[in-house]
Amino acid sequence: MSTGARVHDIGYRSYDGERGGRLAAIWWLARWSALRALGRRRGWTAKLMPISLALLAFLPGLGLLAVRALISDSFDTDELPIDVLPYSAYFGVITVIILIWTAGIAPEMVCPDRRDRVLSLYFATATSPREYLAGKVLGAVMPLLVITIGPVLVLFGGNAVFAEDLFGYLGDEVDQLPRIIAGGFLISLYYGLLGLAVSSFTSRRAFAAGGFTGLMLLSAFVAGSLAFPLGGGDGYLALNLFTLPANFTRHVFFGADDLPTAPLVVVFCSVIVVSSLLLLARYRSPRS
Amino acid sequence: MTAPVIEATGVSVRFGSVQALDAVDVRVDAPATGLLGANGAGKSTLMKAVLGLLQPQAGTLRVFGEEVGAGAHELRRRIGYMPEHDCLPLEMAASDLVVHLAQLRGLPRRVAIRRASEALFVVGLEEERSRLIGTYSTGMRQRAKLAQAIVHSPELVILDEPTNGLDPAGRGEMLELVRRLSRELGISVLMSSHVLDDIQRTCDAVVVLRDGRVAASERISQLAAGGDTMAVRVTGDATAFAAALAARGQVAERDGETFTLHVDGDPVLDAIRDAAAESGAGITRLGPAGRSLEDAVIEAME
Repeated sequence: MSTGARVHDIGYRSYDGERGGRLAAIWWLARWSALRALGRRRGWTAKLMPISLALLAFLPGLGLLAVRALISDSFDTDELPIDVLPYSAYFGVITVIILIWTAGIAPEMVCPDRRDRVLSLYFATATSPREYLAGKVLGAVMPLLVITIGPVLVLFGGNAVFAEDLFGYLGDEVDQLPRIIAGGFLISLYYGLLGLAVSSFTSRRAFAAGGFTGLMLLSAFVAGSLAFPLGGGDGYLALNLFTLPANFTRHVFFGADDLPTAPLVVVFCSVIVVSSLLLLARYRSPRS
Repeated sequence: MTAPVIEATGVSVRFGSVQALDAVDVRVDAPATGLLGANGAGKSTLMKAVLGLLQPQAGTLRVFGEEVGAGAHELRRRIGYMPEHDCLPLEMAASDLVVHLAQLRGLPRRVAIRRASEALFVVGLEEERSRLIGTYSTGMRQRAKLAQAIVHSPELVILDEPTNGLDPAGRGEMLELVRRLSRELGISVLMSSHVLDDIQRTCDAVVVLRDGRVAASERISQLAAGGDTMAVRVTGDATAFAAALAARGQVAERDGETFTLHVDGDPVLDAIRDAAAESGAGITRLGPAGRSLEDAVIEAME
């Protein structure tokens, strides 16, 4: 007979111990929302899309590094084209992946709560609408950071490893790191806020995903029409919400000059502000 | 002196042209208090005002002695709330939901997991805690709602129509659970219902609301005072019934067809039965002579 048996009292007891504050609640909500959207504690089908897209986002950088690894013995490292995929262009290459990711993840963050009327539980005793919103935005942005900044950082690390002089490369290119991080963060914030704002208007995930994708495609069509057939000029391309974040990052952080920068900055900031205001309006305090 | 659980003074809430609460003065300090009233009487509005989800246009509302206001966030964490309507995420397991809400209300993760088990055990869902809520019956969903309301060790639990949609067996079990909250777990309860029997079975005090006003606010024991005096109402020949009672040595006060007499044991009840049989009168009511809770509530609402 086992002598290690223990009897546990699982009866209900009052709790007088430590309690976390409001920031802790925001963090838990963000963490919970992000993990749920990525498929935690859900079936394998819910995990499939985010994992596949994340792998696809890393694929260009990993592929390039793999090719370099395979052929590096045949050539001098200095002869290899290190700028086949510059950091400034990486965000543009994976824009479609970020779009699909956002169309899948953002509705998952907020639509079920509205459909199942869980908001009343949250707002009654757990969080305020502002805290809920902060948690959801953080929860949407955190996974996006993984697929925006992550692949570029991997490429940066790989380039450093394959460079003739590791420390020389790091010394020369270290100024790229804040650009990568800032650019990736702003792209994540842009897609997170816009995706949540669109999703906040419906309780149906399919409608939210379709609405977000439709908005992107429609803006691309409108921007293209205004810029070229109507002869409005390149500035109107800033209205293309699909390519806007990558173009904004290239011009603001990496010094590209193929498009006018001012319209890109204005439209990018406007999208962030309008999305934030829409979210605040959709999640007003019950007391108001 | 301990502050009352809830103290409302002149609380008024208006939605457009509808006066939902009209200068409500009420003090709740019983272990379990029932909010009774017809649909639209203001029960849910008062509960939401207590939770700080509604801003009264007039009056002050205090919970545990603290004024409920825009900054009442920490106060709300001391309260558990079970809404009337469906509010559970259908694609989530009950244990996940209860842990999640416990964490949002400030409990550390390990504590939240332990307490979620305890709360689900209390409501009888420990065996089903890993099932998706979408597969639950109505009764199980009500239990899950109750579990999330108590998981963070609240001092006050607000239950909005907890027996809604339940069959008789489920209703009885839910009322038993509600009773346990105040009697065994030491949690103050404010429960709304439009079913008098629910309040009578679970609460120590009742607040009767009518058209946004407090029609009555008393201990149930006071409202339903009756003592040992019984009232017998008969049909048929009441005079013959009175004579038959007197022949058996029973002294009764007569008011039309209603007789009031002191009952100190079964022989008196036997005498009533025999007198009715002998006189051919039919007994239409035999019960406590004082106002029943039902009488008191009807009187308050008239």
